[in-house]
Order: sequence, then C-alpha cells, then structure tokens
Amino acid sequence: MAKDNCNVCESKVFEAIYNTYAKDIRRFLFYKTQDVDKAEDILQEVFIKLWENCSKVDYHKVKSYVYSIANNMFLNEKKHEKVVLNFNNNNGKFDTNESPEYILLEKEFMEKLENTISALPEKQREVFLLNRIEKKKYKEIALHLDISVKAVEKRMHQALLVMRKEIGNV
Amino acid sequence: MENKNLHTNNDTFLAQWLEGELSDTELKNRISEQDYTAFVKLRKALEVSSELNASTKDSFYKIQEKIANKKTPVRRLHTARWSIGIAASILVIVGLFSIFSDTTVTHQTSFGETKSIPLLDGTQVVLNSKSTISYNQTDWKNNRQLTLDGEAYFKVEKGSTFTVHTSNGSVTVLGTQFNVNSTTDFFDVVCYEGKVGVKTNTSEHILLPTNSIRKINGNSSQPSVTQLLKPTWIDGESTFKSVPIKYVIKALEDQYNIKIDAASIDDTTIFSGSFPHNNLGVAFTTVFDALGITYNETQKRNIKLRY
Repeated sequence: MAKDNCNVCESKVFEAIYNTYAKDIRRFLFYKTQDVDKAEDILQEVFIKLWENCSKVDYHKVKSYVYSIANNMFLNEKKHEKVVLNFNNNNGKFDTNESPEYILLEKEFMEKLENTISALPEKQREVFLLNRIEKKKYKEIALHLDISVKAVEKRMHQALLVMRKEIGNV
Repeated sequence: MENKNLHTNNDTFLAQWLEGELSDTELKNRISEQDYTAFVKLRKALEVSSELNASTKDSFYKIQEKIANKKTPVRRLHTARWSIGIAASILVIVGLFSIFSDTTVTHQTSFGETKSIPLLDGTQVVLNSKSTISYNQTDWKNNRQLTLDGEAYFKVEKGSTFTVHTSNGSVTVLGTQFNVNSTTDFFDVVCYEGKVGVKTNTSEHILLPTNSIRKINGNSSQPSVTQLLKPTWIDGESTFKSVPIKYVIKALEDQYNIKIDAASIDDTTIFSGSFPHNNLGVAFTTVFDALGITYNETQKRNIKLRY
C-alpha cells in the first residue's frame, strides 16, 4: 500500500484492494443492514463501481472511497426499501418479514463475542471452532480429537456458558 | 443465580440445543427468560460471525464475472476503438486483394482433358491436358497478356498486342493463330496464320505461317515447317516432329494419367509421329513399336519401358 503510482485500474492492484478491504466492508454493511446476504450483494456492487471509476480514484484515498460508496449504496437501498414499503402500504399488502423477536447485532456486541471466542480456554476453543467454522458435527469432532461425543458436548456447553457470562445480559 | 441453575442441570444441553438436537421450547423450559434471550442472540451472532469471517474469494469471482458481463464504459470505448480499427484494416486489406489479385482468372486442365476458353475480346484459347493459363480480367481490353504453363492453341482476334508469357519466354502477336507448348525445359511455338514474335531469354524470332520454333533445355533448334492448319491435338491427336522421346512420354503421361518408367531406355531418342488421345493401346503401339521399345504394366497405371 505504501507503493507510489499504483493504478487502481490494474487488475492486480484492484484485487489487492479487494483482499484488503472486502471483509471489513462486508462487516460494515452488515452492521447497517443486519442482513448478511444484503451486505454481500452491496459489497459486490461497491467493487464493481470502484472498477468502473478506477481511473478517477486516487490509490491513496481508495479506503475512504470504498467506504463512501458502501454507505451511499446502503442509503440508496434503504430509500428503495421505503418506496417498496410505501407501495405495499398503499396497496394494502403490507406484510412484514421481520420476526417479532427481531435481534439487532451491533458492532460492539459482535466484537465482544469474537474477542470472547479467541479468549476461550484452548480445549473449548478447539471444539468450538471445529463446530462453528469447519461446520463439523460433534461426532466428527469426537472422532477427530479421539474423545467421546459427550466430552465434545461438555466442552461446547462450557464454551457457551463462558460466552453468556462475558456478553452479559441483553 | 441463573448460572448456578445452568450448572446444576445436565451439562451438555446447550451444546445439543446449538446443534438443533434440543428445540427452542425445550431450552426455554429449562432456563430463565433472560438466559434464553441471551442464548438465542448468541446463536444468531455466531451464525453471522462465521458468515462474516468466511472467505470473500467467491464474491471476487462473482464481481469479476459481473464486470466482464457489464463491460465497463471505460473498457467499452477502448475495445470499440480497437475493433473499429481492426475492421477497417480488414476492409482495406480485402479491398487491396480484390483490386490486385481477385480479378485474375485461372483455367486449368487435368489429365487427358482439353478445354476451350473464349476470352472477352473473342480470342479463342484451347488448353491441352495438364495446362494452366491465367490472366487479369479487369484490364483485359488494354492489356492482353496471359501466363501459360503447358500447351495451348490460340486463335487471337485482331486488336492490340497479345502476349503469352511462359517460363521459357514470351510470344507476342497482333492477330493470328498459333500454338504454344511450354513445360519446364521444353518450349515449342508453331505459327499457323499471321505473324508471331517469339522472345526468349537468349533469342528473338519472327515466325511466319507454318513456321515453328522449338527450344529444348535452352538450346534452340532449326526453325521447321509444318503443313498443318492447326495443331492436331485439337482434334484428339498429338503430333510430334523430331522430338526427344522423353517429351512424347511426358505428353502421354499428361494425356492418359499414367506413370511411365523410362529409366531403362534412352530418352533422347528422336521421335516423329503422333498418338491418339482416346485409345491408350493404339497410342502405345504407334509410339513405342516404331522405336522397338516394349512396354508392360507393372502396376495399375505404371508402365515400364525396355528395349
């Protein structure tokens, strides 16, 4: 990133920018939309827009540029949602998709949770990550670690208790 | 204390609930309302967290795909300019080719075939077997030039100079009937009517009617006289006068599409006579019997000669 004369239009530079910011932007968009799929869609649009305007963007200002596009696109999306909502209201078809127990996941909450996970005791963390990240069943984890399924379940249970304690009441 | 409560019960039910083995309602019954809300939020957060931490590589491929499908405006300009340039140059090249080469007409005959070709000005060309002529069609009126490889008989309409180019030399006339036979090392021109100018690399000749000139291997022989009014091959017969047998053999090969192996005979033997184009047996008898040469077919269409 310290390199001068980087042209955003070069596909290698573009890819590097993507690799640097994509996850952060997706997160940023998730906190705004509270919807992973929507965040994913807008993320793609953001980088398509960046590519289209690559010649106008200064490499050193690319970070603020992509965040601005992300924010604008989110606002456009919201505006469009309002139009759709109004339309549905006026046509008497209003029907909310939101569950009554709508859960808002704020940035602070997510960060706290992720910090808690990385601070879990080694044995719990290992089982926890295998289950949540690698999407392995308890049986598979038991086989993999050569312990009983019961032991895996105990560790998961403990991990959840630790997290519950750390994040406090909601 | 809720926590105490959680510990006192079975110590794996949270794990079972997270895996979906225990329903929400069952969990709700076991723990306090506050704990339940916290765990549900925790579960949702864990799902989101793993999705947010998932690789963004797939999205990058999707982005690339979308960009490729969209073709950004910047790109479009460039590619358009390129393709217009390419299209233009292709047009120019095609145009040049059509001007310089596409109007060249070529006529060709294969084994045993003769072909009569009327040219634009009324000139008649009769091509003997295994021969080729080519000429430029567009400029024919002003520029009566054609290239010949093989043998052809010309009946030229009066007009501007008419030139036949061959690898052995060129033949120029004003309006006449003549025969040109030009292969790699054999060149024979016979004049039947009018005046014919023959120009080779080494010499120039003017032929009057019934005169002929022949060059073999670059050595010109005596001009000789013919009594014929037109070449005999036009009527389906090849006539030779004091010609080395090897050219007669070549003519036979071209006429009948055969291979003649003359390795064991002296192919410089002089031959005078003719052979018909429609009967191979008679042709062989007339050519080789007179010279005391025997012939037999070793393979299909391969004939071996010996004394």
